[in-house]
Amino acid sequence: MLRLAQLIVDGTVLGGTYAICALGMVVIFKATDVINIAQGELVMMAAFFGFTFRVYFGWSFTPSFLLAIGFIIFLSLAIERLALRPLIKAPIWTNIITTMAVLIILQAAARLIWGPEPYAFPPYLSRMPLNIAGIRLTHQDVAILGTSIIYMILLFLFFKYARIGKGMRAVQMDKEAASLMGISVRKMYSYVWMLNAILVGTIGILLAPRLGVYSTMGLLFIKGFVVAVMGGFTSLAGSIVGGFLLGVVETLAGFYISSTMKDIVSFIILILILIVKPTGLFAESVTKRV
Amino acid sequence: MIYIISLVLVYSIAAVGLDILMGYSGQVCFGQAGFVAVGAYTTAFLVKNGFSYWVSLPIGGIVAALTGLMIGLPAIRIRGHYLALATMSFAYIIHLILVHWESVTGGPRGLIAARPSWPFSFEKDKYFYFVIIFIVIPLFIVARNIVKSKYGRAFLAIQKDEIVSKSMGINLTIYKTLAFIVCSFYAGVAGGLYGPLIGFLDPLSFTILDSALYIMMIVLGGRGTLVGAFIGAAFFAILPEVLREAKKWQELAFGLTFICFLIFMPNGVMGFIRRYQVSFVEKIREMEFLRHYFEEK
Repeated sequence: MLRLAQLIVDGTVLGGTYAICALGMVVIFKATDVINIAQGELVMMAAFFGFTFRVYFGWSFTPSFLLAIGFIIFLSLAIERLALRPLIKAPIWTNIITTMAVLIILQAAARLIWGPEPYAFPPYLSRMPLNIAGIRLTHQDVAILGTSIIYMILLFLFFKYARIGKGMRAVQMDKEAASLMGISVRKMYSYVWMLNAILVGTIGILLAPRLGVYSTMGLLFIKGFVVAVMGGFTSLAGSIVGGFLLGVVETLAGFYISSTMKDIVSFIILILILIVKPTGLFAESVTKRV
Repeated sequence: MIYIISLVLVYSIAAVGLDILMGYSGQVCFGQAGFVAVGAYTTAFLVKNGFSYWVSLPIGGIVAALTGLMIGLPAIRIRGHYLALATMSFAYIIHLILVHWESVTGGPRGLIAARPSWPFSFEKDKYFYFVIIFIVIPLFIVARNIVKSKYGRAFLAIQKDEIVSKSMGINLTIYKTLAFIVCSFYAGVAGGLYGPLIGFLDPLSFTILDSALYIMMIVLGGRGTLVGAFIGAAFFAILPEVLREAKKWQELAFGLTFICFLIFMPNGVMGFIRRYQVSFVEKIREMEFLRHYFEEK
């Protein structure tokens, strides 16, 4: 029983990061109709920037964290401006291929700059595990889970009350109407990518001590898609629930079936959801019958 | 040299198949490398277990086509982004199976793919090249005929508008699944040729990035033009050889070229050629019109 509880808690920690990753993807998709395949690569770049500042330059946590986020924001804006904005009017599938090309470029760039070998990232917090009612958690895990939950709450408040957040919601609903109301759609596109950069940047730096830093670590976050699809790629609440759900299911499958199944299970879930209920687990049906 | 030409031809088989699916029927498939892997591993596995290569190759193609049917039949309900994600996760599952099902695929250690030894040994590249030519030409003719026949026109109609084509009496289920089957069959045959050409299969040559590579081929060559698939395949087979000295920069070059193509030449090389062809013909027409004009005067 205790072991099950331990697994569920572990899954929840993992699921929180998936959910944040998926939230960024959903926010981008809703506003700009782009599926950002390079999401995991942004996480990887954040981890590498954090690594450079923290280990290579030996700075303390706060400045390296802030500067790494700054770099990721800059990178996201560059991607948005250089690769995606010229293709705004292109057919939908070109977006997905463009972000695929961005993925290849970022991975290759990381390999050029930092090399292909994995690096260990020293933990920010003490290594001593906490013991809460028999469940062992590291400080790091608590920080990851706490940050994910705080980010989710902040995101909701942001969309509900902040001016820019409301603008983003308007752009998601109707681009023409939004621009008639005096909202600059182009500016909102940039803001959306900045928002995503903050989300994935934080995840990347927080997870780096746990996973290590290497050029293909972005592939781990391909599961962000599974989560985003669980929410139908439109529902923020759906992505959060889906994220925790996937994290738990995956951890349980990894323990009770086999560690191989851990990865396969999430993709089987993805295909099943896409085929059975493409609008996601939590959305209303909007498919067109032909 | 002959090896590179063989590689171009093998890539172009898979690219032609993908072109029928993406360029004509308008469905997005991010899992072409998965189908190629199914064909390649089936063929190599059968050859390893004593079957003749000439029997294994078509079986590899058929098994890949069945996989295509398995993916294509449920996939008729979804389109666009969702189809791209579904096929992508399919390719990912195939990749994971290749890595973990060690008793059949050899896992990360890979699987040796032998070249046929009947009627005589094809160990030399230039002999195996003729095998590839012998298979590429009929496949290309068949693809061209599919595209020019009522099937090709139905595919184009589906790409333009599904509702209209349905009301014109095109059975969407059959045609969309058919496009998937053709695409995956071509991919399977390409895989069956790829294995013996390289001599060795390992899961790292069938990742999602390789699926993206096939899409890049047809986009670069020009979507919906079968010849474009050859141009794209040639580009992506020759570029690594050119950049052999600067191996590190290779992927970066791939990605950057590709984004440039999408932005500045979205219809690919063939689209570029066609545009200038049209304007050239128009110029001649204009001149004739002028000549008329002057003669009348």
